[in-house]
Amino acid sequence: MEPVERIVGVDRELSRRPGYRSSWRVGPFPHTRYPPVRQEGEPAAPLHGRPGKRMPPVFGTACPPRGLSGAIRKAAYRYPDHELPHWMLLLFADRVEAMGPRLRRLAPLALPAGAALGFLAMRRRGDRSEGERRQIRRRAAILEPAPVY
Amino acid sequence: MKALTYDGPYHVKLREKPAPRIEHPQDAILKVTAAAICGSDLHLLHGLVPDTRVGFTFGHEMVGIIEEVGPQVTGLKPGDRVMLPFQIFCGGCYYCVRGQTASCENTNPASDMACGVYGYSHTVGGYDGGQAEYVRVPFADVDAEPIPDDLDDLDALPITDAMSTGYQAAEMCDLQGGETVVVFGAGPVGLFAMRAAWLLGAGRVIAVDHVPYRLDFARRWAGVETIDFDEVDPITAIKAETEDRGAHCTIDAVGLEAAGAPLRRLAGVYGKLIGGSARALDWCFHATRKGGTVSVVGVYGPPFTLVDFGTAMNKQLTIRTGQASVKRYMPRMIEHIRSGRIDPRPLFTHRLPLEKGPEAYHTFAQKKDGCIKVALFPHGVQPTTTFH
Repeated sequence: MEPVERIVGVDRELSRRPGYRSSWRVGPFPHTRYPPVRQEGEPAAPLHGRPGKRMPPVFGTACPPRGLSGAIRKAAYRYPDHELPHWMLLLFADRVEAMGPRLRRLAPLALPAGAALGFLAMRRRGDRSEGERRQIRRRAAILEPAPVY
Repeated sequence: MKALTYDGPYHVKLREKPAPRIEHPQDAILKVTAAAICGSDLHLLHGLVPDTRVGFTFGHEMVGIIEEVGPQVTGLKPGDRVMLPFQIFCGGCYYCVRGQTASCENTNPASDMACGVYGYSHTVGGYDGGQAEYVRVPFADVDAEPIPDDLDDLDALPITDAMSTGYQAAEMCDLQGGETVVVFGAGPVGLFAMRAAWLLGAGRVIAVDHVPYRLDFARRWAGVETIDFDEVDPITAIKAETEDRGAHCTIDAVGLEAAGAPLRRLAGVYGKLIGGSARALDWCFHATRKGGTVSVVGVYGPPFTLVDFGTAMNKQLTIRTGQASVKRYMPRMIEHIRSGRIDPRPLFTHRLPLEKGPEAYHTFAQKKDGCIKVALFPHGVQPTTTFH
């Protein structure tokens, strides 16, 4: 690669800067067909709720909304994107949807842990029963009348 | 087909998904030969971008070979080797005809703020990304750029986003010659911005980060001075180097997950109560001299971000920002690579098969193993074939 000293100022001329306004293309790109024909099917991201917003002819179909998180997303898209509830509801839907994978990841740990806890609880119950039985025997011994000779 | 997909915050998962199909007559299907993980993919990974859905395929930097074309695609044919700008644009709307392809109004129903983008949540259209074996390419013969035979995939891959974005960041500083430019963030976009600042005539370029191996790389690859903000207060250090005024221009190449402000990271990045941690942007405002320019290409997601805007206002700063309209940068980027002024391949410190994607994300996110940038190869890791 060229050392820094040899590249300084190579693009100093404004005409060499692609983002300089006068070098911006004015006119359609090659192979453009305008207006594009309308894509069939349903968009995965619905039209947001700004009145007058038109459905663009091309859209993504990656992950359609589904389940509880999908219902929250649909509610979010009723709001336009310049209103806070739009974004807050979307973030909330993300958290709700993420519970699924989180629970799935926890399942291998949760099942053995649940079984172990259940076993301990049953043992404790068993111990308590034994203790209660001892206590009853003790009470019975106390209440038993003393033999009279 | 195999695809690297979102599986809730901090998790990506390799899944089997149905292969994409032609959904519009101007679509094509691309067989992805290389895809990169971008720093902004980490914002998706960490759950900071609204409407990122479980099962969604990540990846907006990709190159590949055209596999199939729709009936209205006339400028491409199966077998063509192409790179894709990360935006999806129609080529003929109000913005496209003015070169602002990043603002195309025909590809995103979900929001007015941006056009459709590959693999970057449903907020930008809900298009699956390119960290997969195949990807759907809308407006294929308008958007895709043929890769010249003398460029290999790792030359072309960063042109699709990081290199063009870095160049635009420096270009937005409107350098006349001899200025001091400070770049916050020595990740891939920051590194390209440093190299571009020299090309555009900077007199001095200073990088600010706190990852030692990245600062070391910036010194060697971009030929810049460096400041480690874990060692010194960066604003004091920059002012000490610039007659107490600050830099002429600063570049925020970090975005919403900036380190250096633990409470803001707690509230914004982990708690998600505010739109991330905008520490780098605050530092830009303070490190720029009065009347200077702040160029922002670090990604900030909606809904809101806590920044010290009063400082920017009082210092009469010019703030320039935006996604790079990559298509118009492509020819110049190709020229710079061919001439050896920018060699992007050393940035690809990790070149891995797609199956290693989940580990690669964590290596990249945690800045382990000297990682600068990751290239994933869905159809087998390729040796680099071109030498400059």
